[in-house]
Amino acid sequence: MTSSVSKLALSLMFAVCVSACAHPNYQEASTAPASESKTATCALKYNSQNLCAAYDWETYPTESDMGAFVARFTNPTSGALVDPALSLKVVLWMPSMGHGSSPVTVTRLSTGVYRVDKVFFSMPGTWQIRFQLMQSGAVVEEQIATLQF
Amino acid sequence: MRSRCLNRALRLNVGALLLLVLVVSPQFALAAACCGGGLPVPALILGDEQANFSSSLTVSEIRTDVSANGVWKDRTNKENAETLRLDAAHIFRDRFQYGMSVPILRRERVNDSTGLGDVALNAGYEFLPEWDYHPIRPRGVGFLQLVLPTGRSIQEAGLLDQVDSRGRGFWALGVGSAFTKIRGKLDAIAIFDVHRSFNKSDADSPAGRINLKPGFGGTLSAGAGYTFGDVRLGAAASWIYDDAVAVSGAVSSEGSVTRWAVATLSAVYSPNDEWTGSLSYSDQTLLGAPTNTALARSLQVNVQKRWSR
Repeated sequence: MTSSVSKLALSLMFAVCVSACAHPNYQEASTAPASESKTATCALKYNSQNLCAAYDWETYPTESDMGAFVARFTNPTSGALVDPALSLKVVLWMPSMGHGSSPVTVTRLSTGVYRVDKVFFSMPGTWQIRFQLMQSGAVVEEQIATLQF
Repeated sequence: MRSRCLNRALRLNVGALLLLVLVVSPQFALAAACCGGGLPVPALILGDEQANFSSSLTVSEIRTDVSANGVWKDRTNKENAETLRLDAAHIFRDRFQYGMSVPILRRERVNDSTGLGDVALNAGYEFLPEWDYHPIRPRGVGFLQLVLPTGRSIQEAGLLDQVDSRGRGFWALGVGSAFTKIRGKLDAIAIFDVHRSFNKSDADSPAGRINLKPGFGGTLSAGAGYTFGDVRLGAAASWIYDDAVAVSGAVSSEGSVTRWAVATLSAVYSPNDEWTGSLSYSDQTLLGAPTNTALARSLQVNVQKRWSR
């Protein structure tokens, strides 16, 4: 009796193991996107502020090293660089897991040009770079760039 | 003749039960090594003792991340985690018991962080007692588990690589049951639970103040073992699921469900009725279709002291 129960249990375990085995779908190591500049198409457009935003990587982050990019704000009509009337905040966000990364540093380089340092993505997946225009601690408008890390 | 058979059966059952007691903890290593998840394995007494105390050390290497759409990516800089977990359980009235689990975690990647994980309290009731050594009916212990948000959630982690996240960080209430059955030298165990994690408002995150809305989750675990003298060799598998965590406030997102599975092999040595030691290996990369999680391989050493009734 014990022997037949043992055989049944072993058969069941074998069947479960075979049918439940993982089938990994691997992704190759991430590389820097060819170009993230969106100036020409004005993909990141702030309607309430009449602004366009674009960004270009200076250093693409890796699993262990931080990166940096430069964000540019332009007038959509003239194309001239302009500073946003509101303060700029940049948030790195992983929407699937509902968490962000550590805070980045935003430095104004010149009119309409801002350098964003300490960019780090803590795990692979879909990340958002959220360019938020803030007033009194509240987000007035944000534009989101999405990338695969 | 019948009496001799019964005595032999009782000896086998009691011996196997003693070994099975310890199997619960090392056999099911549920938490996703990156961010917690699932309900911790409850500190339960499934044998014939009055009380037990376990101490386990788990060393994990987090080697693979799986995205929300199921794409796997191996880490080039792997993360190491060590978990010291203390479990205690006590039968205070015939079929009623309570228990507690206290995990202390150390995570190391770019940064290094050590601290308390999610502490869990549980109460159990043996609704299917093993009084007559029924040939088929298992022993069943139902449990209610309360998880305290003592480990910081990944949403609130402040370090660059989020190694200061040591749990789910939510109040959670779970209900479940553990079943065990022993036939001769063969034993089987199954545990399932359903849990609900509760909302957290005005949490501090690097992005600003956020509100977190988790949902339901569940765990299904099953295992079997064979006893050779004082040694039991076992194998087990667990499937864990958690609803998405929706975020609102400074940043908003809907989140994605999290699920993964764990395969575990364990060897348990029980030289007497009071002490047991075990070694187990767990691998989260072998089974199931994981999504939105990090997968680890772990080695666990466990020592348990028991006090008989």
